[in-house]
Amino acid sequence: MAARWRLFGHAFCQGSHVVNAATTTAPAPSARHGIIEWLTSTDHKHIGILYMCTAIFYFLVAGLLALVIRAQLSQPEMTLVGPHQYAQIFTLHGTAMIFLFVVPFALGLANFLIPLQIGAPDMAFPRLNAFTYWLFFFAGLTIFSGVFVNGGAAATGWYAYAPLSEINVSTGGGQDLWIIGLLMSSVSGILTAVNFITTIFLYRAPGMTMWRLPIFTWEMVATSLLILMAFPSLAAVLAMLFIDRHFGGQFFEATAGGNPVLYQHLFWFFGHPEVYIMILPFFGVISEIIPVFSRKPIFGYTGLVLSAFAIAGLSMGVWAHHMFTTGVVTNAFFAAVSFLIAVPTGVKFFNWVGTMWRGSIIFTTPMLFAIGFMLNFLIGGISGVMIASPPIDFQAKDSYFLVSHFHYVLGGGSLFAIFGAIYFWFPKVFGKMLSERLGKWCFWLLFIGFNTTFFVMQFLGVMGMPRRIYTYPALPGWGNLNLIASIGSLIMAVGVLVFVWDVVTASLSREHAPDDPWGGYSLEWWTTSPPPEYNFTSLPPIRSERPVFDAKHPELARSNVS
Amino acid sequence: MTVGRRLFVSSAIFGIAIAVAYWLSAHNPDGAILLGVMAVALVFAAGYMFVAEREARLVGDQANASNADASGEQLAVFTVASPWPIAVAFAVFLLLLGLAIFPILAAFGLALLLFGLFRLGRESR
Repeated sequence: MAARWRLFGHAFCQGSHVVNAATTTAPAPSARHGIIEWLTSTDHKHIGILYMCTAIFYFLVAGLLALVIRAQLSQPEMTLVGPHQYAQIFTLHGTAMIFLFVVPFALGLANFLIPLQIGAPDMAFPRLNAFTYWLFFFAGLTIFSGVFVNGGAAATGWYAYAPLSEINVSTGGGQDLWIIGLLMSSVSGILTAVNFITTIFLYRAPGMTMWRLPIFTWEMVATSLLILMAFPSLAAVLAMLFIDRHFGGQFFEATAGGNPVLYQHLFWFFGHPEVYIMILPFFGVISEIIPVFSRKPIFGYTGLVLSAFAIAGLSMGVWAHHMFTTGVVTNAFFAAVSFLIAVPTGVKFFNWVGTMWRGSIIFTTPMLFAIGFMLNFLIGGISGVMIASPPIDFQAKDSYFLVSHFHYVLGGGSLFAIFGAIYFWFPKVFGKMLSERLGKWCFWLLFIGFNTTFFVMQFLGVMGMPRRIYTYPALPGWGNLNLIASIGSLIMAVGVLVFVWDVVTASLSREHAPDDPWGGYSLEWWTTSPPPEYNFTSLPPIRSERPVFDAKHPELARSNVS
Repeated sequence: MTVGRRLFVSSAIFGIAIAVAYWLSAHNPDGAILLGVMAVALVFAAGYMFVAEREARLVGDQANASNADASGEQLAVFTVASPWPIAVAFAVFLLLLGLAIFPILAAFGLALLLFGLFRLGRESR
């Protein structure tokens, strides 16, 4: 085996400096075209694009569901949807946003970028890669097909607590489809993580040592490790629930000697690392965007890398802070570890601010989204530290304060970073520039809309509004604050429409994006936009974590040769 | 020690440490078993890194390697396109759907899965 992987990773760089792909023994480019090419492609760039486009599709669907939720809650005693429909809508919204949008988008972006950033022609296991995408594709279809079955889609929330999700309570087939879909997506995630780790460890270009990897690639190493530790727990708990429902199991059936709290343990052992699986890749995105538009090298490279692993490690020991109120977990241990996570996260903020400090900051759209990410994530992070304290958690549990907290982390954090990533890498992926003017409209609409929607939810939570209620009585202040939140969601929707319009017009435009529109640092900016098959026809010498910058500005190159 | 090995060894040490710390402070078997399994898996992965990287001399690990250092190596053959990944994914989909709804579908899915895996293996030769 050893010979095999050593062969292909580097043979691409034959000769002294410039190698033409045609001179190697690479197989001839695919003769297939059109839809068959996309269905059978094993090219990491095709797979990355498929992942990201599918993810954006589910983002739009889940966003529409969110608008229905906000319409229903805009006034007291609304009757737009009934209670069971409402439960299905928020379940599908949460499931789609988490499992079909944020995680797959991160995996798709990594699929596209990792081989480019490390100077490799493809992923280590190209066909496994294609398999993981298609498994995720069918997973999404399975989850949403619940809408068409008797009894409707799953209606038990995104964590489907047993015994609520057991067969005697959730009798419909929608819950089964939900379980199957998530089972497939968890297997897909595990296999993708294996592929990422193998690729990053073994397929780096000559001179691309681990300590010269771009931060995004480093964050994906940490994310992949987390996936490998956390996703099996999800697969196990889903399989157990399925056995309970169909094969007479009693894992979570208290009346038969099962233990419902075991479901919570297994779910959150996956569920909390999942939160970091959804944010670490985007810490990487921000760490790519900020130095480029601050015109400085990243500040504290080693600190950023080590903090990613500190976050990943600690996040494995905090799962039961979701279970403080069960009364059967050791609150002190989980509160202490949860507080500790704030330290490496603070290191990251310190490094980003340090990178911007005295830099020549250019306020392009990706940079605006990166700054918006930092501001929103800070609010989400600090409210997270608050509810990591058991006495506060007992009050805030399952209230809108919590809803606000995790939307600040995942909406204000991950979503803003995703938009930043799209504006940053769109020219590389598709060879077209998105409009800076529309991009800024998109940013401000999203930023204002987002904060209008979710900031007021903190007050609603403190006033005692519980999450997942389909309507509420006309209590003092509730109607007005909910109306403000609903107006904010409409502003966000306009922002998303501006983005869609921007993508459509850019795709139709005939202007080609330059290979390196931003003055980027990492290897993806060395090759053409979009990159050719097998990615590179040449590679610059790699002597620091900014090889493209070094090659273009040799007078400023940091000599990092040891 | 390569960075990859160091990464897995330190993860394994961390896994053991947090499992022990949890057991000492919480005395809770559910969580201790979860963390224990995780620690064992990490120890296994760290051990595997030593076996797998025994002979590794990656050009990507040499700080001063130039593109010429990687020359003369033959490019491995890998597929440009394959219909089997999507077929196997579809087979898994049918298999699981069949288990939940319609057993005949599961049998069909299993057959397609085995056939697809067989063809994938053939393609690799």
